[in-house]
This record gives sequence, C-alpha cells and structure tokens, in this order.
Amino acid sequence: MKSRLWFVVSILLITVMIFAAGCGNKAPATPQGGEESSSGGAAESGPVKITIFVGFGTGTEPEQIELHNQIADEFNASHDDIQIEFITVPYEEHTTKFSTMLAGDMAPDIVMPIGVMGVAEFQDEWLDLTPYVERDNYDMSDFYGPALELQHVGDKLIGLPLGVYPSAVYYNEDMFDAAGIPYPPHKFGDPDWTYDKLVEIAQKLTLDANGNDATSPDFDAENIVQWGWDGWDWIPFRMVPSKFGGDSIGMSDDYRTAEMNSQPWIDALQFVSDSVWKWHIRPSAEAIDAVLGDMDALESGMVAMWEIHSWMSYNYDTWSEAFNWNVAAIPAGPDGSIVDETNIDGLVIPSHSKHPDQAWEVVKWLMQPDVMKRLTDSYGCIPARQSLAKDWLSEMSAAYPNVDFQVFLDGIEYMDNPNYEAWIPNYGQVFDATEHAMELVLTGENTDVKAILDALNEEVQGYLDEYWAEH
Amino acid sequence: MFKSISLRRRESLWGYFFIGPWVIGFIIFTAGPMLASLVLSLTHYDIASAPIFVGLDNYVKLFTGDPKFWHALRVTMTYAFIAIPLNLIFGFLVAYLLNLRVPGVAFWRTIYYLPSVMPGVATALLWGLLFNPRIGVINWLLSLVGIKGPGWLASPQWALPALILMSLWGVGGGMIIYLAGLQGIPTSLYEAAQIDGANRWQQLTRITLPLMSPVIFYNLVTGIIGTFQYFTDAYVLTGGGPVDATLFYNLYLYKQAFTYRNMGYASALAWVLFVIVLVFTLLVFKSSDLWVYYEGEMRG
Repeated sequence: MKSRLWFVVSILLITVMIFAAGCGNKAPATPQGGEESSSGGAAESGPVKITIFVGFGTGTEPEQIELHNQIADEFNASHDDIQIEFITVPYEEHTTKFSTMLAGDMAPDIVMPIGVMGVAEFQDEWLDLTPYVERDNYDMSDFYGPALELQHVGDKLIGLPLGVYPSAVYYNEDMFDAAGIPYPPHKFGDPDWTYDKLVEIAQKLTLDANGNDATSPDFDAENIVQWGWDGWDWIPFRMVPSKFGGDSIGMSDDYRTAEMNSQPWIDALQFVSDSVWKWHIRPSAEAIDAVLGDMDALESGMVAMWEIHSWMSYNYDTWSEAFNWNVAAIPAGPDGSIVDETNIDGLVIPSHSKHPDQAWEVVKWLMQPDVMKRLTDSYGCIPARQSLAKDWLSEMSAAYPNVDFQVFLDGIEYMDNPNYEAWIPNYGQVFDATEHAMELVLTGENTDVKAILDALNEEVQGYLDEYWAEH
Repeated sequence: MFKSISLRRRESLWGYFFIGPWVIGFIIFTAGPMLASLVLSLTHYDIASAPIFVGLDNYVKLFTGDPKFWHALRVTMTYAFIAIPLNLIFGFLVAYLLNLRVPGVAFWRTIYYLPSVMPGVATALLWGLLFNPRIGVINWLLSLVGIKGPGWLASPQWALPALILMSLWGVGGGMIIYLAGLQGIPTSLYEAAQIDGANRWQQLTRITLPLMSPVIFYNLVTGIIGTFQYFTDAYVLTGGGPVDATLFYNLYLYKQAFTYRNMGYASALAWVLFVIVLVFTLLVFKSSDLWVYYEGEMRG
C-alpha cells in the first residue's frame, strides 16, 4: 500500500514540476508588453527581434522560404538595432499556430503575405497603422487606390498592400479558332461584352462527342467533351451575387439580418444552375471530378473560357506548351456593372506585437520598391505599386508575347469592394453554408434555387443570432 | 537503489519505476488534456482569447439547435453499421482461407496484411486514384463488363459507399488476429469431430466459431471504437462532401475546432462521442454473455 502511495505522490510531483517548468518558460515574456513598444526597445539589451509570420497564404514554397531568408540576411546585415526572422507555417496549420502564439503571449510582429480572408479570420487583431503613416508622412501615392482600400477595416488602415491578383477570362484561342468564333473583347466596358453574350458564345463552344454544339437540337448533354466555360470554379459562391447587383456580404449593413435569399443571390445561383443544367456550358461537380480531375480547367484542354485570378501564372508554361491562350476582360452583369473579383496580399502588424514601432520600420523596409519587387515576383502577384506594375507588364509580355496582360492591370479599377473574402460574423460557418448551397446545385442534388437560398438564409440567420448573442 | 527493502517490495518498486514514464506520459498527454477538454466543453473558447464559462450551453445547442450534429452522427452510424459487420466477416473469411494449407500461404498472408501497415494518408490518396471516374481502375473494370461506373467520391449517393468499400482494404489488421486465434484451436477437436462424422460446415459452426468468439468479440469492440473515430480517409478524399454526404462525426468535430475555432463546442462534441462509444462498447460487453465462449468455461 505504502509503495503505491509513494509511487502516486512521486508521479504527481514530477507532473507538477514539468508543468511548472513549461509555464516558467513563458513567464518572462509577459510583463512589460506595452512599455517597450513606446520606448523603442531601449529597455532591452541588444537588438530587438522582429518575427515575421508566413503561412496565411502563399510564401511557404521552398524557393520562397529561401528568398525570405536572403531578405532577412540583408536586413540583418544593414541594421544593428533590429533583427528579423521569418517563421514559416504550413497553410493548413496557420490558424491554430497563430492562435496559439497569441494565447501564449508570443505574438509575431508582422504577418505576411496575408489576404482579405486571413485578415478577416482575426478581424480585431490588427494594429491601426494610420498613426505611423501620419507620423512619418509615409508616401502611399504609388499604391493602387483600390488595393489600398482593401487594407481598410472600418476606419482603420490595418496593413499595406504588397500585390494584387485581379481576375480575367482566360480563354483557349485554338478552340475559338476551331469554332470560327471571334475572340472575346479585351477592353473592360466593351458594350457587347456581357454575361449574356458569354453564355451565347459558350454554348457554341460546348461540344458533345458527335461534334454538336449546345445550341443544336441533337446536342447530347450526357456526352459532353468540351465545355464553353467553367464558371467561377475555384472561387467561392459568395463572390457571384456581386455580379448580379448584390454584394458578397449578403447581410444587412449591421450584419444582424441575413439577406441571402434576396434577388441578386437568387439570380446568381440561378445563373450557376442554368449554366450547368440548362445551357450545359459549365461542367457539373461530378464532371469536374470525373473529367477534369486534378487538372485546372484550361489545362484539361476541355474548357474554352475560365474566369479566374492572375495567380494562375504558376501554370502558364503548361498551358503554353499545349495550346494558344489569352485573357479577356470581365463581362458586365445584367445591370451593366462590371465587378472584377480580386485577391490581395499585404503586410499587417498584430496588435499583440511587443515591438510595433520596430515592426513598422521593418514593414517600410519591405515595402521599398526593390524589395517588394522580389517578393511579388516570388508570390506571383502584380506589385501593388503602380511604378512596379509597368515592369511587371513588360516582363510578363516578354515571357508570353501572345498574351494581353494589360487586361489584368485594367481590371484593378473594377476590383470588388466589399471583397468576396471580407469579414462576416461566424465567418467559417457562413462560408461553408454558402458553399453548400452552390454544391447542391452543381451536383444536381437540388436545383430549386429559391428553396436552397431560403434554407441558406435561415441557417445563416442562426449563425448571426449566435454570434451577436456572444458579442 | 532499494537495497534495504525486501525483494518483493523491491520488485514492485522497479515495476512502478519502469511503467512510470508511460504513466507520466498518460497523465500529461492523455488524462490531462481529457480533463481540460471536459472543462473547455463548458466554455466558449477560440484559443486566442480566454475561455468564457457558459455552463451546459454547448451541450444544449448540440442536442437542440444543431442539425449538422445529427447529420454527422447519422453518417457515422450508417458507416459503422455497414462497415463493421463487413470487416468482421471479410476479415474472418480471409483468415479462414489463409489458415488452410494452400500453396504460398506465407506470401498471401503478407499480401493481405500489408495494407493495414500502410500510412492512412498514402492509402487514401491511392484509393482516390482507384475511384477516379476518368482514369481509375474500378470504373475501367466496370466498363469491361458494360457497366458505366458512378462518380464515386464526387457523387453524393456513392461517396459513402465508396468509403465503406475502401474500409475493406484494412481487413488485414483484423485478419492477423483471427489467424492467431484460428491457429490456437487444438487440432484434436477437429480430429474428434471428424471421427464423429462432422462435415466442414458443422466443424465451422460448432468448433471454430464458438472458439473464435472471444477473438470476434475483441475485433468487434476495437472495430466500434475505431469506426466512430473514423477521420483520415474522409478528410483526405472528400473533406466531408459532396454536399455533406461524408461529413463524419470527427470531421465535423475537426471543423468546429480548427476551421471555426469553436474549441469549447468541439470539446463538447468530443465528450458526447466518448459517451456514445462507451455506451456501444458496454452494450457489446453486456451482450457478450450470450455469445462469447471462453476456454474452460462451462455453460448451462
């Protein structure tokens, strides 16, 4: 009996000691939070270390990590008072790692590159940079206006833009040539370029195994071998209503009432449904899996047009080897408005950073044109500085002489705002619910658009009520 | 060390000393987090900010205001009720066949056991290819006999059956235990039965099955526990889709925890799952009096 007691007691003691040791590591970091930041790190002996968290988006590929390390070496060699270090986390783990760092009082000092969705995930966590910009008279005139707009949350400027990824309609020129159809317009605002027109030409470009196009009475919808359009595949459904006179929020201005069964949302989902089941221009969910597989729409060689972001640049070489391709402007929606869904990458400073002053200095250094250029080249985005965008255009045009990259630069002016990744209450659940609605249509499980959206609205209202009950 | 104490006590102290690392590990990495999750299940907790105590709110919401919970439970139950018996039967059949004197039996045993030691993610990716409607072997084989295969993982109707089919890939794990059990049955029993004129079927039902019942029982219990914790294949292959057709309980739990950052609610989900598994396991234990026979046991 006695030995058992001894055993239990010693086990408990060891356990307590281990826990105490674990907690002990954390302790020194806690006390002087804010003081240091205002005193510019003078209280510390030696240089201040600024940690840069990478993992909210791109930036985790081996060659990108390599570039980050090079940049860190350069910065560290030229600065005595501040040293930087990049922490790279796989995208799948960024949420838990970042949350845990916040909870453990070890918040990183900068997060980059981070898009609108990443910002929304931790909506209240980002420091307002306005005081720094005003203090230093920081020149932001070179940034694309719309790109800078997306760095605002309410009246706070929460970050600076690194690069943008506008969308355009990529198209396979060979398929247009084979069908004898003129290429779609490259100019934004061309009065003939609407989604109605897109459907019309997409039907002619959609072919069955016997070579009939989708306008033919003999067309066999069960044996499609080429689709005219792959819709907004890879883009969340939230984006689509903004093409139809609505927005990607789908809620009242105070975010308390769901409005996801409003007319723009109905029109948007009806369009998606019709494109698959009525016009047959877009592959169903099953066809995407069965026919396209892991390939992207254009790469499959079975899709003529695909509206997607400029981050497809990673596959340009593969496409170029197989066919001729180009990019057209985004068509106008039924009400005549043009919305170019855009992703963006920027830099933000967590409000829990212990060294915001130094972090701001690092941000400014990273935003210098020559450093930004290296980063954006590596991330595959268009630099958010207009002065650099011209270089980007000439470099891309030299690499792919046939392709009209000006389309992307023109698209920036039509950037969607609110962005389709913008914050909404209970973000993840509402996001999944909207995706579920589109999935029902794409799988053909349910094509009663009104019923789907009524159910969606009810579900989302539940999430909103829950959110506001807790906040 | 321990020299002044009696041998018996010394041995027991050494015993505790050697299991100590495991016990410490258990307390820190299993019992501690379990207790913590029980406490967290009574809170709202998003990791980044401190937990807020909400009493039984999470549990109330779970049972009264969350259709996805019931849906996920239904998906998991459906899977369990089909996959567990299938695995039991196939595992037993394979073991029975591999216990016969067939040529190259060692080779066959290795082949059948191999899949169960392969890492889950690799297996899942492999099956993703097999099920691929365009380039997959399964639909190609079906096409040879004139059947147009379904979309499998992309089809809301076929995704769950596909995962059930896939579960059979792992019968090797159960098989090896059956095989050990089969080889433990004394041959004298079969010889006696043969002398009495029993045919193969009678030998199977009167000798093999009763004597194997503890092994079947063991595989059933571990099968229930494993199946309710089913996660990897669905996470890798379907992510819960299409249209939630494969939204397994643990996948939903994972989403609540790591996508929605509702750690409190996810902890409640985990404890409810724990109770469900416990109830099923106890039911099976209770029923075992009726159908499990242990050697040397006399039954009236």
